[in-house]
Amino acid sequence: MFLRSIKSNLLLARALVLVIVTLALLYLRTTCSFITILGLSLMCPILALQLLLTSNPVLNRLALSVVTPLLFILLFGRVICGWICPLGLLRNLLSSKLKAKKLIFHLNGRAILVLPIISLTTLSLTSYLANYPIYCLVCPIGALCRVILGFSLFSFDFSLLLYSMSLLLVISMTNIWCLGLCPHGALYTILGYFKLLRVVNDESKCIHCNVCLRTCPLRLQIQKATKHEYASCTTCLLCLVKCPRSSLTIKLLPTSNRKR
Amino acid sequence: MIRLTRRDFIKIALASLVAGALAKFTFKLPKESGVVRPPGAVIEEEFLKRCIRCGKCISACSTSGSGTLEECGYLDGFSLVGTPKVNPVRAPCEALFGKCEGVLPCVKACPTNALVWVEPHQIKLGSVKWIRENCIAFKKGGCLVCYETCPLDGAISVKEVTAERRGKVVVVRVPEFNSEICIGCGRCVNACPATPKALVLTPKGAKRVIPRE
Amino acid sequence: MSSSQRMSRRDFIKLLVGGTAAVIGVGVMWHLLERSRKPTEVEVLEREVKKNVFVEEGKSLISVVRGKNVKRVVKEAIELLGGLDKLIESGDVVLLKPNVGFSNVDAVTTPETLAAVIEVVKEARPKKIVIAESAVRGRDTTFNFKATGIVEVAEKYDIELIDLKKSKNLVKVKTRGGKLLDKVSTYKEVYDADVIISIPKLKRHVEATTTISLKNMMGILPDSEKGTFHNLGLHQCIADLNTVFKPDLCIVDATQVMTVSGPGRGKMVRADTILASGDPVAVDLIASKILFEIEGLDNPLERALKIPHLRRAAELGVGVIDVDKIKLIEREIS
Repeated sequence: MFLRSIKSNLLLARALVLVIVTLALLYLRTTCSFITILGLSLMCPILALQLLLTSNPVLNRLALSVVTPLLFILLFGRVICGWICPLGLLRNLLSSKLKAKKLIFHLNGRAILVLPIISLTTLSLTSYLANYPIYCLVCPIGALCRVILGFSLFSFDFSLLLYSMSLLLVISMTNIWCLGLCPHGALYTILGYFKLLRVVNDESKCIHCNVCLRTCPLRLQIQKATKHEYASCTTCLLCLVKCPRSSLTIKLLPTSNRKR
Repeated sequence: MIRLTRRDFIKIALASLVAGALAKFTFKLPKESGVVRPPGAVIEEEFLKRCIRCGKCISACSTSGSGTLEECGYLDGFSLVGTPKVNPVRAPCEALFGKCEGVLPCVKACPTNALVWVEPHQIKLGSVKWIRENCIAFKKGGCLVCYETCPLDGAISVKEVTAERRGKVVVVRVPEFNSEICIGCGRCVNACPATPKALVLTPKGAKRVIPRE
Repeated sequence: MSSSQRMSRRDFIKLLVGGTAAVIGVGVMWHLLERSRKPTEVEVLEREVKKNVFVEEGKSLISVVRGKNVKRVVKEAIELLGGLDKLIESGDVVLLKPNVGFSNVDAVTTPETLAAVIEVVKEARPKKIVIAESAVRGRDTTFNFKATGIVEVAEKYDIELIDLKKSKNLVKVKTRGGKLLDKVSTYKEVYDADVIISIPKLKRHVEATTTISLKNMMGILPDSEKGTFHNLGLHQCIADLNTVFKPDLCIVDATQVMTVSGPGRGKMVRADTILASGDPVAVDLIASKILFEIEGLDNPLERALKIPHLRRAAELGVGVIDVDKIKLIEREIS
């Protein structure tokens, strides 16, 4: 039943979530590096990683605020990418309209891991060598959050707007950012191998039309998914909605007979 | 749709290594930033390490403070982006002689101790600099609002100097600034009615907290 | 291959244009948001100014009362003018304008004096009494109210206390013969008042020489307008302002007087005096003279006559500066 309602207005549901997230950020008046909501403190895991690499004592005090987000990611994987990240949501909305074939990348199996590994290694290397959480200065999501913060405080920096809009433009033209270059996505992919939420294909109903492949913003082969595709999947549910035979469903716990 | 080949992966990996190397050799944390930090800020090197750019101090100032704090932009310096600075043109800092005295909402909001609690006598955000060419008192007289609004005795005083007005040498009354006494609250900057302003707040002489850990 | 490339280039351009439009859209939205934050402005209004009701034989009355009990001194000073029934009608909104430009009690109208005035005004039974102020540029009015004890006075007598700087209702009002200003910006809350009672503190002023009833009226201006006054010419602008926002009654708080320097800090001298008058120019003249006397300066009246904003206000008909047209009533209360 839940599935049926999602199917009929997925875009509406996404738009609603986007609005709620933006309103929450406007209300909380904070950037994504450290959010305090309902008494709970949540630190960005990538910031935590960099603080760890630079031996920053701040991490000792705030270590607990890293635990909750990590637990969530271990359980549900990249659902943050699919439903909360404003960048991801914007890309999803554009992905069906995007015809710039030259810039859409498609990876299978173990190759999926390569981009996240490169991304995280670069991030770790640069932060370690600079002895500073240098990624936070360029993070497009951070920039976007600061733009929203600027709106809620009526304080504005035009250079920030220019920067974040240009990044948004570049990133929305290709799927390589969300596929594995984004350090957040990269980390969540690597941690997401054990997650409980999966989009599973019913082989008996599947007609191998590849609509799901063409709809997926990450161009993942979800109908023949291996553990790598599952880990990288953002649970955006676009494939599920577009499937003509409804052979794709969400499963909360991995089935005993999952395809390898 | 394109498949990424092994050659593409190698290209990306090399680009990342270059980025990493660039970071090592070009990125340096500045010892002084040229911006005025909120009250209770630790020394700049440590501040840039502790500040996680969450924006909570800026929000706290905006809701329960004077609203002076704002984010540094890219024009302030790449490594400063997102960190808080005092902008007296928006509002003066009310940490002394004002509504935030004894309260310091910015300090309370900071989760990483980049801003720590300080007593009133430990607060000095910087000092003010006079730009004579813009000053109404110097150019034609009739303004000493900076002197009027300054809450500290002796930080601003009135001095008589000679100046040339319309070809004649006259005695004019201009403000004189004592940067030792000045606490850098920015009330004078906020009050200055000249456009462009004849006063600017600088971090010169700021008292910063030396962390003990 | 080539057709798909052409497609992608077109899409690239589309995206670029779309992106630029988005940035411009965001910029416009931000600009509108910023604009909605600033108070909205209305057309230029006009205001009628009442003639001075406290006159005798064609002369402006000034009462000067000395005594330790502020409540009795204020009461006596107003009674000597003839009482408030001449001035206040039952449907009137009375605006009390004390000087709360600073946060130290030395520099503001003392709460006791304000309380004394409130009691006398309440006896005249106006429809509503409000207290309003827009503090000195760079200062927070609400903080001043709290730090000086004005808040407690307003609460005790249940009177609305208005921090004008927080009001978004800006109005522009035409001056009546102003030389530098043909209109002034002020707040609707001030414009709507029927009677304005100025309750200044007798102080020295670094730029205006003394700050009393006429200068006190600058506290109805938004900060931007105060800035304009200093940019154009302070003394003439004070005079121009008072042509349209002339206080109907002035009660000068000279219980403690700021001498030698001001308006923020100076040498405080106890004088236990209240001056009251319906003529702001005349009372400012006499009060300045008293201030110079306290400072021990020679020719206090001549010095007072030389104060620029007093002369210019008199020129514009705000009040009289001619000593022959002033009638002084002095009294001492034990």
